[in-house]
Amino acid sequence: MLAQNDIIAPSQTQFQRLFANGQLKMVLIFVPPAILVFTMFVILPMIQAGLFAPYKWSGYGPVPWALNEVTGKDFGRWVGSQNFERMLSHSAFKQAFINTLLVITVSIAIQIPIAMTMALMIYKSSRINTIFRLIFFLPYIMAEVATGLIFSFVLDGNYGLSKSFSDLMGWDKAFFPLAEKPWAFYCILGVIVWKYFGFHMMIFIAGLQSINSEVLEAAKIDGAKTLQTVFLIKLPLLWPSITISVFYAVLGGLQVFDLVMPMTAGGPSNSSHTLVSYLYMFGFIRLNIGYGSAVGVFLFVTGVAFAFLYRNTVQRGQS
Amino acid sequence: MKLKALALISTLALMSGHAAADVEIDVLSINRDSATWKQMYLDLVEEYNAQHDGVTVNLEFMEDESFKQKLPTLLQSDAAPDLFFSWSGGVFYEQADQGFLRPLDDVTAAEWQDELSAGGMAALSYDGKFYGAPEASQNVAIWYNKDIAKELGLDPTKIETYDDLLGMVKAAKEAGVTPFTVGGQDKWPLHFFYSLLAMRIMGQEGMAASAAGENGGFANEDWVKAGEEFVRLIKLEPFQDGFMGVKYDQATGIWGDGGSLFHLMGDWDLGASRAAASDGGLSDDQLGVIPFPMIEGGKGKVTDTLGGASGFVLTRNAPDEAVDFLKFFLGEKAQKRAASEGIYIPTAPSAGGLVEDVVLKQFAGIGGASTYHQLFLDQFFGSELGGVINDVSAQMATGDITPQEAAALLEETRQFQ
Repeated sequence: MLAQNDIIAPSQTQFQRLFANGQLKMVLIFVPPAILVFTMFVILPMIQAGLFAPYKWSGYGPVPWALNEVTGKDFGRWVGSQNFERMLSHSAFKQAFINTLLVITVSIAIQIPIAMTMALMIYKSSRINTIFRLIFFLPYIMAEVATGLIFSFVLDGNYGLSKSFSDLMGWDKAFFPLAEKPWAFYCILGVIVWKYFGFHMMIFIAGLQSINSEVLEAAKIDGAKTLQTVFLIKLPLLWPSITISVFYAVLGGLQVFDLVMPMTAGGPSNSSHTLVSYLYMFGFIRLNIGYGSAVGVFLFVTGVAFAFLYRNTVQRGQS
Repeated sequence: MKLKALALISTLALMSGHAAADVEIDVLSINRDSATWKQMYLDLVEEYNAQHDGVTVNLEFMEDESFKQKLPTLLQSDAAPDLFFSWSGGVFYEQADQGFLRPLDDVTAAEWQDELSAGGMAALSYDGKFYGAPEASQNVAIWYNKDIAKELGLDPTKIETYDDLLGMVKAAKEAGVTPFTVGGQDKWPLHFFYSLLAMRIMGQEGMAASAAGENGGFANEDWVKAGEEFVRLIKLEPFQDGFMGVKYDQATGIWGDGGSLFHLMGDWDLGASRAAASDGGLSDDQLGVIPFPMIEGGKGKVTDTLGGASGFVLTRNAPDEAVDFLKFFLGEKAQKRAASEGIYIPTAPSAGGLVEDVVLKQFAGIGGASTYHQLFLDQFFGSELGGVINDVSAQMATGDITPQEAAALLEETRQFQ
């Protein structure tokens, strides 16, 4: 009996201390709403999507397996793995998957190097650098849909910049990049690079500014050239920032949607869909919630698998 | 203080008493951008409310796309309207199939079939039951620009066969004129070509057989032939430059600005192209209309029509008063007004003759002489198979798939339904 009391007593005081500090109060006040909201809007829909995926269901009724009292039938129909099989054999889905991979590749191979170059040029504090940082960051602030609309006008061969350019080059036919395969998707890729490199640049600037200036001074005294400083000191010290940037680039690439819709709406002939715009078009617009859920599950599994792998390999050991 | 409380209580009592006696009918329409159309709705509602004590009709408008998006959830909620606009077709079938709509009793249905057109009522029927009343009838035909035709020395009224049409497409192309404008990004304007070709080739029976999965469903030689004929047109590069990057409303603006010789579109395009064109669009004198021509050896008729039949349908919990209002709202009187003001082409046969607008009159004529009216295929076959019809029409237009592949894709989708 006595021993038991001994064990409980200190933990109780610890608990009381927590309460007295106000920490527990904070936890009790702030955590439940967050968990509630997260569960309602993130966890539940994810579970739902998983449950809806094996059904053919138009979205009428609360859930596909509920009995519709008016008709005496269930709202949806169990189709097992058919949604997944159809998805994997659908040419537009394959194209959407390839396009998503393209977004990720371009983000990593083109966008991040550009962002890095810019960051290296303007990371030092000065008035002119602040102005450039603002200019390069501006595209990131703009709303995606607005950006998409602007570029759909710019790339229009009837009255946009594309027409002026075609006239300038003396072509007798104006160039309509958004109506041509594969140009339509290349245009979207270009806009993605233009819009998001500022975001990565900011991550790199923050990383560069936190590099200890003594290290750079030491290098200078040792006679290191600019390029040597960049490749042998700055980039290695920036590694944590780069891994974060790549992480955002991949997850962001999996989510591209709002630029695609106003620019091409997935066209011409479903050649410029990303996974998410494909999900929206073939799941929601065509009232096929079960199929859309199957695509959603695929997207989710891909995202989680990547995040898990990446965290445990590249980002291992980083806090 | 006491007095105030008493006054409050009596006011509350009055209000609740009022609410109990009153039947509210909520009507949800899509946006009526045309001012005369909207005004007619408002007038009708006001008139009905004035004539009927104890019944209040609330009319609400919603933008097309958000209407489509919200309807599934709205219909399942307590806030479901009693009457709502419907394009008929697959979405409507699904609503009826899932029991969200209220069928009309047999007497009313028979009466309306007689007065408001049997064809229109048929579009709003499912599994032998009727769920609403038809409003406007829409038909697709080939519009042509008389000025351009004259310049080129062509007379589109002489077109009888599809080969004649292709001949004129070639002639226009050689003269440097764009034969057709089309909003390829929306896909459905392209599916009109494929649909009409299929209708001319297989006729009403062939279409019904495909829908029922007979003769191989869609994987038969008629559908392949329809695709091949479509590809023959595509090979001539009949569309404006960059047609796959343009939506319908932009395309019809180009047409309204005199950008092409032909335009395959429905009667609603009259208002739409004038609104989208930069200078008011083409005048009545400049516009000509011809039916889609016949294909030699086809089983269909040149008088078979493709189009829509929109209307309003009743929801499951709609009160009897809603049926009465619907009769008034889309009844003969209203349709006659719509016809004489040139608002839309009414379905009611008694009102059809009242259309005065020169252009709409031609469409009313085409609709009136219809031997078989086919609902837009992308609506008729439901959102999924309909969506695939749009997809394959666009893919054939860009040369991505062959007519055989298109037919196979359609059949595969049909089987999954």
